[in-house]
Amino acid sequence: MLTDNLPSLKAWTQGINVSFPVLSDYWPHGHTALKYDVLRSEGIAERAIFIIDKKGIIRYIDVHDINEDPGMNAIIRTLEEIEGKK
Amino acid sequence: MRFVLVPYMRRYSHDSENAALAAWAAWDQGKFWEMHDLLFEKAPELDRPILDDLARQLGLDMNKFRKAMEEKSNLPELKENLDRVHQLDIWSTPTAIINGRVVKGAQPIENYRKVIDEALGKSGLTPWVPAYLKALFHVLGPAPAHAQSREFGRGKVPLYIKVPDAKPTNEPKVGEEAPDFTLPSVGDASISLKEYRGKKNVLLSFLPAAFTPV
Repeated sequence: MLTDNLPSLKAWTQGINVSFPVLSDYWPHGHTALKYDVLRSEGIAERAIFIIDKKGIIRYIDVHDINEDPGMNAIIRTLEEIEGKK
Repeated sequence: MRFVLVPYMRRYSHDSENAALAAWAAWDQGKFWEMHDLLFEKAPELDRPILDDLARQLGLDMNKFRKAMEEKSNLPELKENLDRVHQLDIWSTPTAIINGRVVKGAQPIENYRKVIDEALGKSGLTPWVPAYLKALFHVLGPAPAHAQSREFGRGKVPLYIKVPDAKPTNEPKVGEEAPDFTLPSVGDASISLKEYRGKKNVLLSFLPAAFTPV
C-alpha cells in the first residue's frame, strides 16, 4: 500500500512481478496510513508491516527505517504461529 | 468563545495560495473581513491583477500589500496551519470544528447553530474554544452570528481540542482490531480489509513510494 496514485503504481508493478494486490492510498491522501499511524508529514507512509489475522485482529506490527530492509524472520514466525493456531 | 478561521489552500493552486495571502495581507492592514467578503464575491477568478484590484478598492496601502504578496511573508503561518488541519484528518473544505465536533461540508446555517448551541449548553459558563474552519473558495454563507459578535482570532488551529473521528485516539496495537479501509487496487476494483475477514490472514505492507524495492 502506497500513497502514490494508481497510474504510478501501474507503471511500477508492470516492471516487477507481484502476486498480491497493490493498493493506492492516494485519496483522501494517506488516509489509511493515517489510520494506522504510519503517515509521515511529507505525505508518504513509513515502511511498515501489519499482520492481521482472519478475525481482523492485528497480530504483528513492524515500522522500519525507510532505507532499511525489514527482514523476514519475525514475519514468517508470526505467520506460522497464526496458521498453526487455526 | 473564540473563532478561528483557517484558509484551506488547495494544493497546486496558485490562485488559492494568493487569495489566502491577500486575505492575511488585508488582515495586517485591519481589513480582513472586507477582503474576505470581496474574495468570496470574486471567486473563483482570483489572479494577481484581480487581487490587486480588490486591495485598491479597500483602500489598502498598495506598497505594503504588494510587498506582502511578493515576499509571501505570511505563507509559513498559512502552511503550518494547513499541516495542522491535515493532522486533524481534514482534507476538504469547508469544514468546521466546533468544540471538538467536526462538521464537514457546507451545511445549512441551522446545523452550525445547533452544534454551537449544544456546545454552549453543555459547557455552561465554562469557557470553550471552538475552531471554525472555512475555505476561501466555498461560499458558506455568513459566519454564525455567535461568532461574529464575539472575539475573532487569527491563530493556530488549536490541536488540543478533541476530534473524535479524526486520528485514531490510540495508535493501532497488537491484539486490537485492525482499522478497516477500502482502497483502489492495481488491476482490480477496490479492495476492503473486511473482505478478508474469516477467509484469509492479511499481511499489510506500507511502502514509502512506488519504485522502492519491495
